[in-house]
Amino acid sequence: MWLVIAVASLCSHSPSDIELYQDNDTIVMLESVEIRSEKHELFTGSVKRQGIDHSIIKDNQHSDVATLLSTHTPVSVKSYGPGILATTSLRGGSASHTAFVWNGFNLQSPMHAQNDLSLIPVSFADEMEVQYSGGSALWGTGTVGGAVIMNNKPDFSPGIQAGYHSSATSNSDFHNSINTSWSNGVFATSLRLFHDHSKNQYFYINSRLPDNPKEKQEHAGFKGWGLLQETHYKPNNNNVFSIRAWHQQYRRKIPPTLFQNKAQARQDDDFLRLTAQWQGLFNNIRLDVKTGYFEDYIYYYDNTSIDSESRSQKQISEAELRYYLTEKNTFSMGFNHQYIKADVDDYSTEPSENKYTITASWRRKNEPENLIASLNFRQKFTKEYDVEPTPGLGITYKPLDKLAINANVARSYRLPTLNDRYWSPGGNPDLKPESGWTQDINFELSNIIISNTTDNLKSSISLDNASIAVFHRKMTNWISWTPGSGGLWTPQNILEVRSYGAEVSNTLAYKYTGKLNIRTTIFYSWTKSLYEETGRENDASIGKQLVYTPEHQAGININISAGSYRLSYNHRLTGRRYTTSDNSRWLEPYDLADISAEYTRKIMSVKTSVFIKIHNLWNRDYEVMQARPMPLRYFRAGLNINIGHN
Amino acid sequence: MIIIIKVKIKLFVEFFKTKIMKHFFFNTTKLTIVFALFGMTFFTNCEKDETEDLNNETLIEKGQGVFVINEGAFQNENSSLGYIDNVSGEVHNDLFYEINDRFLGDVFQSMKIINNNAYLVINNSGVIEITEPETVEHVATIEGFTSPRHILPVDETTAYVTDLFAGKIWIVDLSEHSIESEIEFPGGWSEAMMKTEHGVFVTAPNANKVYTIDPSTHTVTDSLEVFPQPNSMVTDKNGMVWVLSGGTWDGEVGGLTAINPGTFEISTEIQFAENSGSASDLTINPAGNKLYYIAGNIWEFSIEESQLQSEPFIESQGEVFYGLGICPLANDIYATDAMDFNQKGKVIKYSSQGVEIESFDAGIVPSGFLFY
Repeated sequence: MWLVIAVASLCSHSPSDIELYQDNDTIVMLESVEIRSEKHELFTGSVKRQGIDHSIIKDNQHSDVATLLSTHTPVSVKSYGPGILATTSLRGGSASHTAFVWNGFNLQSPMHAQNDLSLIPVSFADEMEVQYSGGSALWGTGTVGGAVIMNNKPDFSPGIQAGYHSSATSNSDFHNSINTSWSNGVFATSLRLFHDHSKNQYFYINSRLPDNPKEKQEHAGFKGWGLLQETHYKPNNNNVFSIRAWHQQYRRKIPPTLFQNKAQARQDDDFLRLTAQWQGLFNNIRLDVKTGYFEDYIYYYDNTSIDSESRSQKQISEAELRYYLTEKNTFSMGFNHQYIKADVDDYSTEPSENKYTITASWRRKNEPENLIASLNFRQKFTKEYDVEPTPGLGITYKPLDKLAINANVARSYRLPTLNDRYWSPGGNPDLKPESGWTQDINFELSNIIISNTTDNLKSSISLDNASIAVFHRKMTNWISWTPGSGGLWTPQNILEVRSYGAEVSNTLAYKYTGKLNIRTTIFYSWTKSLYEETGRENDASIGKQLVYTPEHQAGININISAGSYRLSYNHRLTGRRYTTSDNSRWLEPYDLADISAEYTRKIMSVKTSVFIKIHNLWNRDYEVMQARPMPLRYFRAGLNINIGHN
Repeated sequence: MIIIIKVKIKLFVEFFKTKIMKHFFFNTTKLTIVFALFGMTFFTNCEKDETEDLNNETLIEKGQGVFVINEGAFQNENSSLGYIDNVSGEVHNDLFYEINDRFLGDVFQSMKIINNNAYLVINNSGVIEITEPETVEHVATIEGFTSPRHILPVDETTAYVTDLFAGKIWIVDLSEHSIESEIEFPGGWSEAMMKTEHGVFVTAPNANKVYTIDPSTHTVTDSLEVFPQPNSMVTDKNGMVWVLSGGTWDGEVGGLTAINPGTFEISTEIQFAENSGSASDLTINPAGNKLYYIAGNIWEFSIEESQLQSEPFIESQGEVFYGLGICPLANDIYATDAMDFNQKGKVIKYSSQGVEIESFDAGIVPSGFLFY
């Protein structure tokens, strides 16, 4: 018995039509979205996810993922300056608690389990999403606060497409990128390139000098380039093969802090990401096999004493089998192998490790009751430590068509990094993994029409999305570097941290006669992340907020489009951040806004748009990290040219 | 009788001071009075005296307390100058910011009083801030260092400044408040300094050596090998220079070395036991016969016994000892607890027998003391 299933071109939450070739005995009616959906969409539908709208990706081709997250999501981004290191903190976790997943591969560095998201160009993404909590059943070690997902989707619609972007800022920043793709329906290939050259001469206020003079940054210039090449082969509707290669290089000068008067530090960041994957469908079985090789190189040097090279490699191979037993039950089983290796000047040795993981999932759907439950299980085997199994359970209940209530319980862990274990001096190879349980509930309303008038004046107001989420997480064995007896700093599993909070967001859309479109999103998030145990008595940090974890964050995005014109405004507020563990010192809250205007014109099949953007519209003097100068207001102008049916 | 004399009459005391300077009494009763008065006013008073009234016009009175050096957390720019007034009991933790309305800088390393000015060495800001010692008002800033550690005056107008990364010792003009020249330092990292009859001794932790510099020619003239990682020096009552070596993290053991400054030869060498941890902050008592240092706990070493003690002098009850100082008159021992190196620490005062007397809140990562 064969089942032929037509495939929808884009995954979405709403089912699309399916054709099936009927054979009366065993017919499994599947939503095509289920076939094509990545594992994390199918088996963790209850996890709170926030997709970043396609139009926002298109409008931010000049930008990097860290900046995009800081302006459009409640993710707390710790940026050391424009074009310089930026890491994330999700739901009160540390920078090593956010997984960065590219096409199903978790790219967290084996050295420090973090990702510098300021290096990732937005123009290399087709889809971006933030996953909140989720637990390690999803992406393995490091998925504690959540995950940032970046995906590339093959486009098999025949023809050529090309997009060119060029922009420049008043800080002498020049960004150019080209995205091209071609397909004949069976083969699809695409090549993306970007080039970034910036003197990064931004103005900032030096509040460490009397009279707070405005100064010009002279030591933050950088240049970088990258390419992403993809080739896909789809011989029939049942098989897709994809090969991808992503290579990138950045050379950056690190700006001095406000208390330093010598600027000498530089950093080179290079990486290579090679992946190959196959998706196959047979009867009611889907098979995913993928393998990837990832290499990272960092070279940091300053004229004083530090000249340090680090190189790390990661190989991931994974196979997953998904079995659609009945309409109501879907199973999945998987096997994953990871090999990591590092060659770091400051390590005592050149470590290499193998890790094996088995995964299993079960999804059950009860249609009449609108209830879907997923149970996920993951178990890692590694010679270096005993890892406990990480289960996760998620339930989605839809009492009304447009209201979904999701609840999740999952276990999270983060293996000690190679830095924690092998840094010399101090590395502790006996560390245990950080682990904990996370629970969350979220309520989501979608696509509610508030008002709708017909006749001649057709306008509608709709609530596209409204959600409230609450979460709680307790982590134990959290690793912290402390001076032991005798003064040697070593990492220990001494901290216990409890995090909890809530996120609220609303997206409203107003449409008028199809000619005016206004879309507004407001969000607010409250995060408490407290030291519960620090391994020392009479510690004033017990019960205090983790450093650099803001309790309050809020933002608003307004997008207005009318015919060929588009205007968008973005404003983000970030609350107080403590810089000491006893919360005796902090950085003041700040707000940051930007505005952009664009005009688009289409001539034959060439669509051209020009835009101007003002960053830091209200000219705020702010600090994200202590003593790191941030740019005052600056301007950007650019153009986008698109050819093809995109 | 002494109780009667403990009266809060500053003018009366001033009168006596001048009298005593000119006419020295050998009469024993009057001598007792004299010494009692001396004890209360001339020398640093490390005893809290509640009956004496504080003259609130000046912030700090010479001889009444101790400055606390709060290093701050690296790159967090939260170093601060503290002061504990032993007469009034007042504790200040952020004097520089309170008086001058700006941050002190990143990593406040050490402090010295030279020619009636306070020199504050700010390691990661690469500057030395100069203030009035009694008002803490900013006088000048010396800029241009790479990673300065300690300052030592070598004559009326010149001082040397050691450096962690520069590979040289800076020569500072004290009247111009600027760097006038440099000395190429073969040992790389230069740390502690001591002026002796044989020249200026400088410890070089990474070279495991003590170098001498001739201050008249500003040249390195000699060196001596000591235990690994020499970090601090004191002079004892016999004039011997003791060097404390902390040892390295990969197993090389440190120890104490006594150098005869006249001959520049080692007179005593005592190696620490294996696994004794890293030792630092060598301090000496006012009598000049007992050394103290931090190696996890606080240890005492008597130069007369020449033998390491098997038990610590003060055992940590969870404190992370990071700074050590001894009151020049009262013999009280001051230690700092740096906690987790990212929050406000504490200063703990012990008697000369090692019994805890009281503790004070400090700034972020308190790391040293300057008795004033």
